[in-house]
Amino acid sequence: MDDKLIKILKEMRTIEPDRAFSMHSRERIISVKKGWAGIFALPAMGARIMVSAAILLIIVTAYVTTPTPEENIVVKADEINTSIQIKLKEIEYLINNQPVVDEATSAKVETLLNNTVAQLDTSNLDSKNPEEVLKKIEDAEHTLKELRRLLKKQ
Amino acid sequence: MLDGEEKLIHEAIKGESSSFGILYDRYQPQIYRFIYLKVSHREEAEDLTHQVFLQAWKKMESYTFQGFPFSSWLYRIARNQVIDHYRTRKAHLDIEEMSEIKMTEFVTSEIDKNLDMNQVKSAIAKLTPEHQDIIILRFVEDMSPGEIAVITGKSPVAIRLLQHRALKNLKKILHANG
Repeated sequence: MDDKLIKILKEMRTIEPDRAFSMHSRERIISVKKGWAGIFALPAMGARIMVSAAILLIIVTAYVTTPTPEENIVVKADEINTSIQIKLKEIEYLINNQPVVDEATSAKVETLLNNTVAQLDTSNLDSKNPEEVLKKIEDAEHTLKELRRLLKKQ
Repeated sequence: MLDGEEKLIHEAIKGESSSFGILYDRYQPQIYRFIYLKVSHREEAEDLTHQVFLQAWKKMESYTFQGFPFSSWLYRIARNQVIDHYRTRKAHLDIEEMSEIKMTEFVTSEIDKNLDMNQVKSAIAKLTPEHQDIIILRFVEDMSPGEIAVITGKSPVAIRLLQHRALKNLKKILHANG
């Protein structure tokens, strides 16, 4: 038992992160001190979504800088926001490096992108209730997860 | 410390992003693995790994070489990141309760046959954070008790003791699951 278990534990050293994620996480981290300008230079398909994400970032930052009793919600929103930013970069990569996709998938991708834009829309997020905002951000994150899964299947 | 690493760290401290990029390439896979085995969820592990390196890059100026490997600093950030993750999401299991699960003694051959990586991964996720650290760093990453002591803030002797307990608990969980 011990030998087998130790062997399996050693084999776990082969676990590695996804290459697309690593590449974009690295790029994004390194760009932090160089400013944000490069991040928004995007293909047309992702442009709208990224603009919304940028707005989201500003909104979340605004909440963060305002001490309120909803601090936990703010922390969570900030966390989800980071997660969204990573997914967007990965989706951008997948879209740019995708082989030809069939019409049905293309339509699905477009629908999901539009849904995310709607969920991250400024007017949508312009709520006095942080819980509502958080819910909308969570919905957007969920849609992006779905989109990423769809693109990775290709 | 690996060849040329001190120079890379020094440049990264001065804000040289390409040097930090090399450090990222060197350590990101193992930090990801460490987090992934603790949270047992790929996307969460990716998000947390990103956070660890983002934090490290932002804090680079405050990094001071104290004779320990650069990776031990990253592991410390990773450990805190996972703790914060569970604290803010409030979705963690009652770890104390988990560690006190009473499991019967078992015949080792029973679980030998079908033991595989997925089972072991699930079992690691059920260990206490402290035992997870020991199992991953000692047996997956093959670190010495001294190296683990630097990361965890415990003594090498304590790490050796914990190593036995952690392994024993892992086997108990595997048995209970199997």
